[in-house]
Amino acid sequence: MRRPVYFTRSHSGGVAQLVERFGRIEEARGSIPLTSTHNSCFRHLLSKATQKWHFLAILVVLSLLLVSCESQKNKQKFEGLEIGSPSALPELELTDTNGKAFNLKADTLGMVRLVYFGFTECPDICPIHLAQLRDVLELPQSPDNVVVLFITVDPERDTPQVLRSYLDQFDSEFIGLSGKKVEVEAAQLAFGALVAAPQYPTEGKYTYGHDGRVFAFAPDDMGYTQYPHPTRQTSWAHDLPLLAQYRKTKS
Amino acid sequence: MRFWCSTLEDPWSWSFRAYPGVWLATLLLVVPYLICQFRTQGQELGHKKKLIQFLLGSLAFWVASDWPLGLLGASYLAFAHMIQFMLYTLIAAPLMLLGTPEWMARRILRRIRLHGLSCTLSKPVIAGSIFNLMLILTHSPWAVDTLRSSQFGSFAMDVLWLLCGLLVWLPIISPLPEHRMSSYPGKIVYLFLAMGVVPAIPAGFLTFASFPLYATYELAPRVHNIGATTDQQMAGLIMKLGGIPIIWGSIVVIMMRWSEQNGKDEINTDSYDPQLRVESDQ
Repeated sequence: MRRPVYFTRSHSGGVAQLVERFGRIEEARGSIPLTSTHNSCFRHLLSKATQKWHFLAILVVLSLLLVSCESQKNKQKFEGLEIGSPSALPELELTDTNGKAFNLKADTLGMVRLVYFGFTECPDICPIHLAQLRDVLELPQSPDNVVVLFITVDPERDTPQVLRSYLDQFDSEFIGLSGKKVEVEAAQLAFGALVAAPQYPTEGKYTYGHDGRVFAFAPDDMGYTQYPHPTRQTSWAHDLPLLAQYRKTKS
Repeated sequence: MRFWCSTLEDPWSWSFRAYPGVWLATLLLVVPYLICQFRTQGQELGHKKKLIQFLLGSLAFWVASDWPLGLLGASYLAFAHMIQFMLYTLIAAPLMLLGTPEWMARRILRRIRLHGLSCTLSKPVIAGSIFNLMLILTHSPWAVDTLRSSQFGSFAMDVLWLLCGLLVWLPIISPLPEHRMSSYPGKIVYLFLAMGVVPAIPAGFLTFASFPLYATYELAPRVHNIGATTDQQMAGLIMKLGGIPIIWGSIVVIMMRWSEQNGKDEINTDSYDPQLRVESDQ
């Protein structure tokens, strides 16, 4: 009677004969057949387990990374662009729509100042920012001590009357400021804004390329955050009460 | 030149913009219909009425898709978006169904081999569920902001609205009798539940939200200085109240037909009442 061949990989040659010979012994001992199946199975299981462990380890590392990212995100207090080292509100004097001198710091003490450089002929960004601010400031949860300072970058066309009637379309509380061209340029530089430059489209009516950020300063005269275009109302509504609190904590 | 109305960053102006895709789509609806109708002219009762209904439906589709309403709805104003939705689902779709003769609907469904599917989809529960699911999905901020930003997405949204509008009206006014519900009270309940109840949920969100939900309309250049929140509240009101005249008008019509039917049934039963006959003979 032919003995069963346990080592199935190679039936030919010396190995097969040896296996056939020792097969009897193994059978007689009652142990498992002499094959490599068990070993390979074990290795396979081991490698699977290792793979599983690797996979789990990767998952854990990724989760930790995510958690740390989230906690980093939570550390960010404002939804606007936070400034690493807060800047102080520049000491500037411009002219308001009544033709009176207006000091940016002294005349807005204890207020959250939202400073924006724009012009009344602006077709897109300026009206969007101003409309967003109007809507947000109308909300009951918005703090009372917020002032919007709109500094024109086009003092030639934006006369005090033009500026006033433009801002009144949004909110009569918005303050319009102007000055000589040099003064307006100096103001932009003082805030770290891009200096607006006139652009001449084909129609002949010039427009301005200008900085789209709203520079926010807390009542402690420090600028912690800025708001580029577009900024959603939810971000404003989140940040304005936080900015307004700086007066209490600092004073 | 753009194919279909989608989000623009330019400020709104009343200067005309051409959207050839809209014209093409409208022509694709109208021209084959007219060819079929003129080939069989005079062979069907109410031929002219159906023609007018279909053309009015196509007109509603064109008005909803083309400049200015199409562009305002795709890019600038949430309430224009809502008027579009109403036009597609409550005006264009039912008028198109009313204007389609039975033989034409059968021929189309046979040709595209969708008769079986249309029978399944026209079951009230399925039609109502699909319509309301579509309504909620296509009014979610994610869908609006994503789809409206591209011409293809915007086109897909408009087509989906029209198709779901057709679907939701099938159990009531389908040209094929096998699609229509037979029971009048069933039709009334279906209309109320499918088109009157669920739209109130997103409408409520839009009307009472503290902030604008759709970035597309919130950050769009303002049209005539309409604020984003006001615009959204108007959209919510249109969604909630805009459908009332059509839905309740339809319910009133169904009730009148039901009462007419009852009257006819009573007359029929009276005339065949043997006891009455005996009395009248005496």
